[in-house]
Amino acid sequence: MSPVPTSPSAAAPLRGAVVRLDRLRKEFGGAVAVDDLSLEVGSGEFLTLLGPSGSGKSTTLLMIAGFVVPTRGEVYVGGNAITRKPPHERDIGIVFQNYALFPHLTVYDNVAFPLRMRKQPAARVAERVGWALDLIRLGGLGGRYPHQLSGGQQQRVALARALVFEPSLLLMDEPLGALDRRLRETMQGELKRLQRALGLTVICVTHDQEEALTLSDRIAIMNHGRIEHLGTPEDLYERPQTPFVAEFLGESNALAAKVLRDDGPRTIVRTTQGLEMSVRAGAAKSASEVRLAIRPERIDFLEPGESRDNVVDAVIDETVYLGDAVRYLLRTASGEGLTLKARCPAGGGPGIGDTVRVGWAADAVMVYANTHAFVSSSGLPPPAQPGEGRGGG
Amino acid sequence: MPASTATIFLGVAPEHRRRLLLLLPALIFLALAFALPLTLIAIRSVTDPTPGFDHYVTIGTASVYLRVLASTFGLALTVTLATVMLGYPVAYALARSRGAWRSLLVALVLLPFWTSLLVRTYAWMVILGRYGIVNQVLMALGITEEPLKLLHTSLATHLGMIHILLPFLILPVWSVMTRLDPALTMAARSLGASPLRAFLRVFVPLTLPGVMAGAMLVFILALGFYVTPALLGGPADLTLSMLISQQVSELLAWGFASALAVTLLVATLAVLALAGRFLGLGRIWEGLD
Ligand SMILES: Nc1ncnc2c1ncn2[C@@H]1O[C@H](COP(=O)(O)OP(=O)(O)O)[C@@H](O)[C@H]1O
Ligand SMILES: [Mg+2]
Repeated sequence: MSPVPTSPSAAAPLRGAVVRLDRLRKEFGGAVAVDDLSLEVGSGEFLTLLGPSGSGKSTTLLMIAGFVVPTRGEVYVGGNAITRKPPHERDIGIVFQNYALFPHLTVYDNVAFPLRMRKQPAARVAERVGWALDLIRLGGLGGRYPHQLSGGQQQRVALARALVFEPSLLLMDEPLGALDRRLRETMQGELKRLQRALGLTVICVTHDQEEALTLSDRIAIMNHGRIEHLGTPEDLYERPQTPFVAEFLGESNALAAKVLRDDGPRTIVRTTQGLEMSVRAGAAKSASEVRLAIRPERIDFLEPGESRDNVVDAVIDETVYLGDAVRYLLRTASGEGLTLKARCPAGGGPGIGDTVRVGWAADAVMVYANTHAFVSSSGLPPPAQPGEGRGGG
Repeated sequence: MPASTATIFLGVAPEHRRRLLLLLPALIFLALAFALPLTLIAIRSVTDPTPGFDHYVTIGTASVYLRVLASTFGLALTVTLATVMLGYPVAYALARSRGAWRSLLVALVLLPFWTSLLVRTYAWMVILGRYGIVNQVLMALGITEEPLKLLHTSLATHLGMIHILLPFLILPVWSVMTRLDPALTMAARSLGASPLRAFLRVFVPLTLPGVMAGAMLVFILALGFYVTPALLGGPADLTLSMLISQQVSELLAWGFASALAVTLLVATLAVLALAGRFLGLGRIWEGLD
């Protein structure tokens, strides 16, 4: 990997600003798009807003950029409230979903645009554009028009244009959504390299969880205009705070259950289908209704004689080949549907119709008070595309 | 000579052939209603009353005809420029408007468009006439004592044509404006451009193809305009189409009228070709993808 050329103007790399959103709210004719959202992004941090469509991600980003006026609340960048500044005075770089390169301008003129808007002298413009084009390794393509570039090249030009004026903050809306899978992985690496080397503060919006997990220092999972859980990718995946997060990020078996009794270091619960299992003690009050979530990769096929906190016999209803893993849809004797994910067994695993013994640890069961709604009400996760989700590999 | 329709048809793959078949009715109609009469007119212009290029020599040498040709082009150009100046802001307002405002604006643009050209021309006669609205208001306000001569002037011709042709500019410009990705102006703003500079540096250049398309349409329609200049204009404001009509209906000079028509057609095509070349229409379109 070649070293990133540092800014010729400053000996030190760009320093990203601290960004703070204070009870930011947006209503569209009474409908709440962003609901009193508060958030702090550190200098040089890569934060992703991840959530389903309509959860308020873009609206939040547009309020930071200045294109949507908040109903109330404040946006601070580098300690200054910029909530009432027009977009062109904010010095925030934005990479748009479809890049929004100016089709009537060459690559050079596209990248020079923000400098010319700032009335920089020609020599300085040339120097900065050269720096930015080197940064994204497109030095020789300044004379091309955007339509003469590949998708990945356009993406990089959009990045150069957003960075050339040394913004204190970079915003990205679904930055890699339009690229094919291989290119997306390359670009993810490149983006991360630039962000680290330049010390950029980045706020990125995506609905692609793989992208979010790969790029982000922290992820904010959004739902209904609110942050459900803000944390590191590992936090979110291993210790989701709500059943929504457990189901949205990766896959989960979502079950409704009732707490039966405490049993030493365990608590015994029974699902609505009548499956009894033990979970970590203290996770829920006795006799209360709870929601359970179990990651499919935390459920294992058991060898004869092998044991777990929870063991159950089940029939395989269906198998889905995922390449690096196989997803098994199981049905227990009590009629509970469970999903199990395992690495592809070398000698070919069990098949449809086989009866198997499976088990999982009490610690593998995440328990939530019954105030949260699930993404899907069935016990089975929605069919996910291959490559989605992180577990099992 | 291009290959005949039949050989083209037989030379293409069957699946394309079926698609060409769909074009056939329209092609036949165009051939009978357009290409054939045009050919007949072209032939007539060099055969009636005697074979030869006499008519074209007359048009090319007698200054009166060249003057009419020039003033026809001048009129078309002025009208085109005026529709661009007036129509672009309207199209912009249309593209920016939402809800009830948008419906109202669309109606205001389209209603006159759907009204007969003759009706609209007569409306201008009522407005501009000796005892029309304008004169009555001017006299009632004491600004003028006598009715001004507004009708049958070059001004009336211009007003009428600009009014009638305005939608032909507004509609294509509006269409290009609504197709333009709003992220482009947002990008310009985020990169430090004030609203005005984002408009001038990004929005205007990228909507220029629509302006070109609309302006071409207006210009070509204006070149052949007949009813409006004939009814609103004065005797001095003779256009080529009026001259052609005069030659046919008053002098029964079919051959000469045909030669004038061919001249108008060729001149129009020449302007189109020049415009296409110098304004670089192709490249602007290419850049839009
Ligand atoms: N300009 C707007 N007018 C009305 N409603 C809007 C507007 N923009 C967004 N919304 C609504 O606000 C909610 C959040 O939208 P958005 O921020 O685009 O979500 P996301 O980017 O997470 O998909 C949605 O319900 C959407 O319909
Ligand atoms: Mg969005």
